[in-house]
Amino acid sequence: MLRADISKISILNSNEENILLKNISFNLDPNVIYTILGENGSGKSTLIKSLTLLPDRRFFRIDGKIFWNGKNLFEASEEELIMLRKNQIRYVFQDCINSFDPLKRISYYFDWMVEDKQQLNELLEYFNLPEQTELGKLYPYELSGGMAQRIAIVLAAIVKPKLLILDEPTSAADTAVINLLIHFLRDYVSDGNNSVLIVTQDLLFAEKVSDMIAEIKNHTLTEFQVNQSVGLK
Amino acid sequence: MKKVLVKCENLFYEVSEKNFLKEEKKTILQNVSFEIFDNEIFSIAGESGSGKTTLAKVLAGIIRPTKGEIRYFSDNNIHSHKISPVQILFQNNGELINPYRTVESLLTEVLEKAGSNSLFKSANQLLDIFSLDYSIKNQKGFSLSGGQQQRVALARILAINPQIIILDEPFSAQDKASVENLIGLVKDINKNFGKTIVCISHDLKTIKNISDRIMIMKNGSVIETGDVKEIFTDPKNDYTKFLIKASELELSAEEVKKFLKEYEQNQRNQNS
Repeated sequence: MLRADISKISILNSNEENILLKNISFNLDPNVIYTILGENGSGKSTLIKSLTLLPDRRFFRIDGKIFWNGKNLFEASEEELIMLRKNQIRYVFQDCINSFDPLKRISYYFDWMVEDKQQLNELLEYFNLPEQTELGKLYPYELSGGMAQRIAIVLAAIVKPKLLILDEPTSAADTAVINLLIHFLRDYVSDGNNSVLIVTQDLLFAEKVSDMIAEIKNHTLTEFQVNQSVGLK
Repeated sequence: MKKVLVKCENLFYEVSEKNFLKEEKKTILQNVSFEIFDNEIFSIAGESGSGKTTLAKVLAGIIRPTKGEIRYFSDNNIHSHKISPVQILFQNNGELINPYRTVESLLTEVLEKAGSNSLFKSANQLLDIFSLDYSIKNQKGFSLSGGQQQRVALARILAINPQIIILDEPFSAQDKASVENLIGLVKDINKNFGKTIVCISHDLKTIKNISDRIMIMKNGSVIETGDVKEIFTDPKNDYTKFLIKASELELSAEEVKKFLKEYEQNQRNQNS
């Protein structure tokens, strides 16, 4: 599905070039939950953003090849990349409250992104959120961090992207919600050839949810290993 | 007999939202009563949106409760009214210190302000305690990592020698080593400097490691308060039991949904 061969990702700082990550290569296959672990500031978020060439090229330089279903993304136009991020590879970022326009009510996103309102209601109910008419009235500043994160996950997952990328999805979630999220993601990859890529520091969550785990160490990514406690089902 | 340092009685905090047509009242804190003992680590746990941060702000005197009373019992009046003896370390990682100032100026500023009240003479002493390298003194806030920023912010708080330090979600989005490091630091500050710590977190496992007593909150009310051992080995309340079980991440989606539904139903029945 996705194949990444990244020789290096570096940060451009005036005239200097600092290498953040190097020699990274991995494959993502359908129906698998992948997790990347790593310390604070090790470049996890930059790595997952780089998969769709999202980092600002004035500050980041990415060298290598990334293939999505056989197509090298470095050769894709900006429009193609935007469509790819819209339909096939979707993100939920760590500070997802900033992913919402502060001047628009949540209903704006429901109207714009969601066709199947029935399914939206089911997902909102599953994640213990108020129903869409209630929730739609709110502005982003009225959401708690945990609520914003759950709404962002619902909005990303509802278009059924082939690859769903979650950056620290448990950082604002209480334990009840984390339990729900684990089962939601397991179901998500079990049908429709979808995969999930998670970046987290929550070891217990990683152990419970993932099929394959890799870690960023010394500026590179270790190989994805089968997670013994869940394993490939 | 442990000495009571703070006593909160029947705290309410309400906000009203004015629309064009109607005024809606939202209750954030509802009849919250508890005590904090001198020199303990007291943790407040609960789901997101349960009013933990609001309670912290009320304790620190940043906002006034709508109703209720907070009493502070302190014999040593160590401060002029300019510096509060209750200090709070906020949640926003990455926004804790001024990004454009050097660490040295950030630390010397508070040392000068605290003057003879401070336990410390120099910025270096503070850096030693927080195991920060002297070389970061000339660095500016923005160039520090999240964990370093947090430690500098905590150093600023300790420098002015407060009586109570409130930590709001200090462990979120940190790797395991940083969390362990911070736990050690907080225990140190509690033991060696005699500070009372109030720790707010939804991470029950970490709280279990660090606290003397725990208070569990839900929807702005106190569910249960007790010694850490008591809460984890013999929780009285169903919600506490559920939270502890949920933190193992072994529950099925149906179990979670069923419990939350039944619990809310029960609450409604009790209220009506």
